[in-house]
Amino acid sequence: MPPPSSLNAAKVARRWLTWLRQNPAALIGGALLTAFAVLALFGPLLTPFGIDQRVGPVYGAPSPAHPLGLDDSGVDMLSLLIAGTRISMLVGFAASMVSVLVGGFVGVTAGYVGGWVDTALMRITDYFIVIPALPLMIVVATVWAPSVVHMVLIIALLLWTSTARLIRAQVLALKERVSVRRARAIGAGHARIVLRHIVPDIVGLLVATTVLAVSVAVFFEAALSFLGLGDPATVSWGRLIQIAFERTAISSGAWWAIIPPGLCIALVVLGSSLLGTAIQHAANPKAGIAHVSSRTFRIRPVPEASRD
Amino acid sequence: MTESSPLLEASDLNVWFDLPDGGELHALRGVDLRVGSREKLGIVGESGCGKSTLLMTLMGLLPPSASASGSIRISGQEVLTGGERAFRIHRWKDIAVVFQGAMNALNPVMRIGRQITEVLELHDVATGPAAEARARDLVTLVGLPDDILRRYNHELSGGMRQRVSLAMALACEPQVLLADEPTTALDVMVAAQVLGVIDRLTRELDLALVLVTHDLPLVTRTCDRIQVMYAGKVVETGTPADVYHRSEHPYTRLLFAATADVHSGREELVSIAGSPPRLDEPVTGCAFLPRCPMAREECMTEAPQLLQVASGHAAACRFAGQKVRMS
Amino acid sequence: MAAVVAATPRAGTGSALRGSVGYLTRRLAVALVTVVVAVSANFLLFRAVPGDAASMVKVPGLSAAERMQIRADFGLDQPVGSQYLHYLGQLAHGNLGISFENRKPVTANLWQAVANTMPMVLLGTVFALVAGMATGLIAAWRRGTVLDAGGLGAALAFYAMPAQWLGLMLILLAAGHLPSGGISDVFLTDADWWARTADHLRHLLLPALTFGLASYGQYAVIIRTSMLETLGEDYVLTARAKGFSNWSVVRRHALPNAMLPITTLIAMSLGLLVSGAILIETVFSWPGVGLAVYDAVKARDYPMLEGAFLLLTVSVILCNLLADLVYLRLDPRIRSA
Repeated sequence: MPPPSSLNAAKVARRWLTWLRQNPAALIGGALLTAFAVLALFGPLLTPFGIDQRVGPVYGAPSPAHPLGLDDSGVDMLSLLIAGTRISMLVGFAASMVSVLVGGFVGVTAGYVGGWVDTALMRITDYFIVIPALPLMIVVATVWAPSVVHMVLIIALLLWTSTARLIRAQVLALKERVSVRRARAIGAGHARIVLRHIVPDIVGLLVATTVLAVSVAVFFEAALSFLGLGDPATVSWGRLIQIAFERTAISSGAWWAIIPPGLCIALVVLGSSLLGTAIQHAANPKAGIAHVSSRTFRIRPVPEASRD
Repeated sequence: MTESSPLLEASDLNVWFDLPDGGELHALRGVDLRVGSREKLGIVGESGCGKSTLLMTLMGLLPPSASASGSIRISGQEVLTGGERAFRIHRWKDIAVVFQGAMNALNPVMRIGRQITEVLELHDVATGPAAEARARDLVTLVGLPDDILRRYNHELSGGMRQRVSLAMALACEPQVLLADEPTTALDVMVAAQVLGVIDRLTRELDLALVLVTHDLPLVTRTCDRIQVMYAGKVVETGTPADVYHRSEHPYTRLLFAATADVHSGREELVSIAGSPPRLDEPVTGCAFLPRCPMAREECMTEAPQLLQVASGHAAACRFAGQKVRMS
Repeated sequence: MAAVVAATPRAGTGSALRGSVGYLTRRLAVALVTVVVAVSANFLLFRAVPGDAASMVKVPGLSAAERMQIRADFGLDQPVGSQYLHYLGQLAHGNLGISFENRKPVTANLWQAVANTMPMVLLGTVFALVAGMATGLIAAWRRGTVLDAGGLGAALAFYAMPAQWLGLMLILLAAGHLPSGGISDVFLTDADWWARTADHLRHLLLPALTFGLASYGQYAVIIRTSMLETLGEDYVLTARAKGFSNWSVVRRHALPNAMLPITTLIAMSLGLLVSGAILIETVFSWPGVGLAVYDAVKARDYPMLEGAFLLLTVSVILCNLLADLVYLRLDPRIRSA
């Protein structure tokens, strides 16, 4: 994993590409996420039909003109799906970034400052970890008027805790490093120490956590929307599943209203899990051999030039 | 002192490890070894020379990323070609190992007593109360109290863990005991204690011992023969007197000179410049060449074989046995 | 001749027990404090609702006077402090209030709901554990082969699917063969016990299967990682050196250590079982705690919501405590800490 302090940008890029090539999981994950991100950005510009435009019968079957069929209002499913990509990806990335920022800040503060600040912050974190996530989100969403911004905040409200613990553990270890102790000894200011010595070494972890948090955020967006707590004015994948459920798509046999949105969610979650885990391993390599394994060591014939 | 039928014998042992980037590390390059009954063999060399790998190979404890060639005979039976299965037949009954002190060699969630009795049961030495009695005898033998059997690994100090490992190793009365740096991670007093136990037991129980260490004074005191290893090969072998006083390989000489000796009266520390060669690339000529004070052009082309200098004393240097001046 | 060298182990004989008791007391204290915090926060959360709880009740045709009466009934016109004390007092009596929706005690509603949820999530968890452990262990043992990549890939794929969608998919697949909702067939009134049980089981199968498929992935990943780490430990090498067969090494030395993290994971996930069931119960109209939460949300039935939320939080705390106890039993290192 190329360290952030590498000078030559081209060299860094090349090492990243080698890493990607050696790491098929990361490659697949990255490709999936990028594909959906691109779809989210440019998709709505390319949608063949409007999402309010009735173009056929209720739950019209897929046809060459409408590869994903029609929903129960006769609207083109493919257009709905693409429109939903934008909101789902937006909520996913925004919630994940907010949660990592908050969690990272809490983690660094707790780890670096220590003392009662650390204890207090960790008590609060521990409490949030204990609360079952979805019920809390439901409660808050019930109370708050449903909107995209509120959704992002609600999801981030619960996601920051695991980041906080992870970052705090890392900061605690980094604090004892020689370079940090030296900087403190010469009287460097705390902000400087944090920014120059600690943050660069947790960037990898932060990136990994952000990517992993996307999967969780997208999942919760789908869950909240399914329970009717999403923004009714917007279209997201979660909302599409909810609509299909409430408007009896199953009994109508309209599988095309159900399968695509869930499939998209699964692909994004899978992609971010793969990529995030790969980055996490790169940041924290734990190479190990198994002393006992299904394969054993091999026997070779005596080499030709045995005395070299 | 070589017996006619050695207990443990290895010939032309080569071991390679697969590297993640596709290459290979040639960790052992044609090593020979022979241990007879009641013999104590010391293997020395700097880190990375392959001495631990050699020990592991003798018991077949290699990972799946390894491949090996050559011959290993335990009590006359060829095992290397038989692979893991063949080794398993001899493990612990004929040849046992005590690992480095720093290792986590004991199961943290199993009581000490159980870890000893399970070997007794596995190899049909004893079961039930008889096994427990034998376990008590074993820990007493290494100087530990009975109640240690009820304890867990984390309750023991480093010295105690090593002694437990020793008791465990002796449980099935093997004929050869391998010890891989048994005292390296221990502080001096405790190390001396553990070594005392090893020494006493190998004499009392008529064990053959293969001791891998980088502690040169220890090995010269304790062992009947010493093998010096460098870059995966044996570069000198002989009695402690041969190897220490009459060393014929420049590496051996420098190795012993580099050992700080309080009584020598020397003012400055001698060290060997340079570092060992990378074993993931093929080595032509003598591996010690870049650091050798006696290097000549001939050393570049041909790797030296072990040359007999005297009875039981051999060195892998083309100048072995000759009076050559060091530059 | 063999002098028994003075060897003092780090911990004396009595201290393992002292250590255990100390550990237990600490975890118990933490759990109690967390419960108190949870209860108080629960109280605050629902009092922080903008607008008045009574005004949000979605029962049509309530006059202003009736709303005032509701407010008085539920004590909502008192100052917050006395409401809090009243709330605690009620809790101590096991009284969680009256549901706005069906005017029955929240406790009774929840009790019935829990009784319905339990079989489904327990069966689902059994599925998940069996599948997860099998996948994880096989993947670890055959690391780097198709079994590893395939098993792990399938586990991750299922884990990535939203539970509600997975449920809908299973309904689609099983259409006509298995019931798509409800806990039993309402028309099966006077059939014998056997028929009714069979009917219950048929209704139980799909939701439990959905639950199992949606959650087995995490077990698979964790046990794979744990096993891989354990297989690299030195004591596994020792076991191999002793002459044990591969299977014996794994069974005696690797598994007991590898299972430690997963045991606590299982205990903790028990606490989250009910939350995970919300989506599935909604899809299958399964009248458990999850559906109760969903219905309470829709009807803005605050006493129900508050009671259910408290129940869920406390069950998580209790299950975490249970996890601590189990770990204490399994890992001797904790006892001397």
